[in-house]
Amino acid sequence: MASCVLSQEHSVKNPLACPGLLFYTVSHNENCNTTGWRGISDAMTGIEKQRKDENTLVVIGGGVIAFGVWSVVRTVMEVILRMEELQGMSGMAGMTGLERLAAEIIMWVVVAILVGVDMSIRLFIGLSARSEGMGRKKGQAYVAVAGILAVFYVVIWLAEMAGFHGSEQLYLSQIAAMLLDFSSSAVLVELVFTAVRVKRARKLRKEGDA
Amino acid sequence: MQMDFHYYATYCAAFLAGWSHEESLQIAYSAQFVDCCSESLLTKIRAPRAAATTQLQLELMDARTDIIGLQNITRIWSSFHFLPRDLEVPVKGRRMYRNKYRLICGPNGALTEDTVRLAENGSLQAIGVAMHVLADTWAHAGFAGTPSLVINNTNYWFYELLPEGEGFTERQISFRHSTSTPDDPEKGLYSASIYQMNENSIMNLGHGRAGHLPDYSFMRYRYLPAWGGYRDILKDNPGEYMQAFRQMVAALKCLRSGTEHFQRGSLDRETVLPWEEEIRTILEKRQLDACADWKAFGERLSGEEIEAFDVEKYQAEYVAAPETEKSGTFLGRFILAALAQKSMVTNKIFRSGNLLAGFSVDYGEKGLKGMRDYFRLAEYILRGEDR
Repeated sequence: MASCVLSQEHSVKNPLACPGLLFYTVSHNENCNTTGWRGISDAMTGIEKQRKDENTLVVIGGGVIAFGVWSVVRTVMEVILRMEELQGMSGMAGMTGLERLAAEIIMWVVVAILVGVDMSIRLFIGLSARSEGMGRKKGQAYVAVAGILAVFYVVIWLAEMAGFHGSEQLYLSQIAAMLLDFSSSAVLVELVFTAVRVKRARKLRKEGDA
Repeated sequence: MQMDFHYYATYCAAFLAGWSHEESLQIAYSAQFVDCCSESLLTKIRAPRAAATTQLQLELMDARTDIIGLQNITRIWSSFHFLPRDLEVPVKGRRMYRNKYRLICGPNGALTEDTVRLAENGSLQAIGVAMHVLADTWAHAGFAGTPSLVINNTNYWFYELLPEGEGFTERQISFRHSTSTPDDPEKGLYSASIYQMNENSIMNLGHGRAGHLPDYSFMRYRYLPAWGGYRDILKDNPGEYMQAFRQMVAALKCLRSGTEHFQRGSLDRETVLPWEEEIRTILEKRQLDACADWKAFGERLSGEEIEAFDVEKYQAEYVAAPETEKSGTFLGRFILAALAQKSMVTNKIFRSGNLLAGFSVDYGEKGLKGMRDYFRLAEYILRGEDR
């Protein structure tokens, strides 16, 4: 718990004489200072910008997790819907009995591992961002991982774009996937920039307090 | 605010302002009755439902949230519990946001002055209604009496300030959503309404998203209001309740004099000064219900016993009275006062170009049109029988 004296940030002597004040409440309790708040036309101060960035971090953190869930669902759906194609590619089409069963199990285990890794990374990034946004101290690791993932998604997106030029027919699912991948990378990039801003602001504030 | 302030503290303020024990009791009863006069109660006693001054939880659950329903909700809550502070405040944004922003409650507004003046030379019941509204402008400041996520929402940035030595320490509040479990100030466990993304959800009405914190006189807290642009608000309830008490005394003195007009921002420190320490002790005591302390204080002031609030006290009188004499009964006068207050506030909101409280008909200009319930009020005003 932080120690603080009741804030003097909003002290105003005569509320009714202050132009621009939205409204105001006066406390003359001797144990407390006069309180009030400023009108909305005033520009944001540093602490307010920091709070905005922290709130953005919380929201974006949730977004990263949500995109992770979508990624899991998409991967599983693709495997299910393209099972025949995958079986043909992996040589499972010619297998029978226990051999085929074992191959399917291995395939699903591999899918689960890949999806699990992706989801774990996203959970790490998302939960860390939310935690940092809510005021808890977090290291740099999640920012770095988010940056790497963002680059990865940009590369995927560019590859998808290149693939469209070569294909004769565009499927709606491909367009949707491309849009979502773009959004996902945009969210990760925004997360990186916001996290850097928040960390910088906190560092400056700490140095200022010291 | 709760019964401890609306009933017992109002009694104390009235007595200090010079009203007699009986008069103070009637004023205090009317002030507290504003929190009880729901459509269900009015239906039970066959009284006009337009005089409702509150809505019960069950009524809110069944309330429509289409435009008609929202206007009805706004009329009730803005008129009696979240009196708008400034209906003309400049604000950027789309019209709908602007209209909701302008309904934000706060003390010392023009409507507060109008509310007290409406009770001038009026019945004790009208004075009680005015005191309830006035007191709530202090406690409920920063919230609007209309369901709105973008105005009334709060988030995780919510800290309670606990006295420690010369200063305070902050303890973050994580609200739970259990209406059946009472709040626990010692452990910092408080309930609030659930987050609902829908802009017009009932969960976003008034200070639901902050739980009962604005109604606890001992609470000091900081939070980020949804409308505040990431600026925090510091609520010092003990200080603000003290201000509310001083302002009630000032208003009650004006109303008793019959000649002085209440000015917004008026505070009577002089009359309250001898009792300030005692009142502050009551306000700062960490308890969910301060009724016992206020009652003891009031009885010490007047030397008389303050009877417990009984919501059914005057109902039999109203039900038994013939139709032509109902308005002369205690509840009859309360109903007229409630209609007048709701009519005044709705009219002011409507005239400011804001349709959130619905349309308002000016009887003086348009004649008797609109809701039949208000005919009774209009007739009595024209006959001068509301005094």
